[in-house]
Amino acid sequence: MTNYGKLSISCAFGTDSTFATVLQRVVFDDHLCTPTYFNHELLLASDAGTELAFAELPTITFQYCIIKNLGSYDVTANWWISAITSNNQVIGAGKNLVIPYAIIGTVLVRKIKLTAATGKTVLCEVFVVFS
Amino acid sequence: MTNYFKMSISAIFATNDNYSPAVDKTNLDDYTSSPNYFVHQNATATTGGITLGFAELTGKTTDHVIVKNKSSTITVTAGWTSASVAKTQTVGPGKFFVIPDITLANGLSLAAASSTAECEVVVVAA
Repeated sequence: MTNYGKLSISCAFGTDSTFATVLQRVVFDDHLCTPTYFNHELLLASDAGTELAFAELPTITFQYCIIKNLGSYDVTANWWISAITSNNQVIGAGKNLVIPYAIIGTVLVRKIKLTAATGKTVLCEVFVVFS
Repeated sequence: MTNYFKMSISAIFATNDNYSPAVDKTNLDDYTSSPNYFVHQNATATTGGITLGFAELTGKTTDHVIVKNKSSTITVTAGWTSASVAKTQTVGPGKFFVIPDITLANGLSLAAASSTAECEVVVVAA
């Protein structure tokens, strides 16, 4: 069976809060053919770090990972670009990180880690597509 | 005058190519802010790399940066420096990259894996 995925981002920039008057609007789409795995869940980031691993999956290509910070405090996301190297990025309250990542990964890289500040927990929404 | 910015992200996963019915469909909560800067431009990434300086934004923390690789065949590597740390991210053909909260200390670099690759860039900053 063939699966299909589509990711869309639209952004608008205007001079009124209702966006009735939009100075610029930009829409980005990406149509994904035959993704084999689609994961969507809420994850509570702790100050010790919360990992979401995909070790059960075979060696595959990680197409997109979207992390939405639903909380009121910063979250730091780590994603692995090799077995020993990770990138990290602060995600402010309410903000989005979209990682397009194409690698045939080992078990070690098929995970993300979300860490909140000391004493904080932050709810995040995570969406991952593999092919 | 106050400016307003809104970002909406949606994702659909389905077993047919018209996406209906969807197996899973997600509309993330809209992100909104009141930024001072909104830059939208095209750029041609080369194998030697190009740097978009955004001089007026130097030292400011961005709200979000979006890089869309419009090439259907060529991979682009986006590079930036934030908090004195140089970072890179591969952006595959046709894919987009969204990153929040970075300080564009040395601008945004775009390097094509071969030949050239057209990219579309949006930078939003407070």
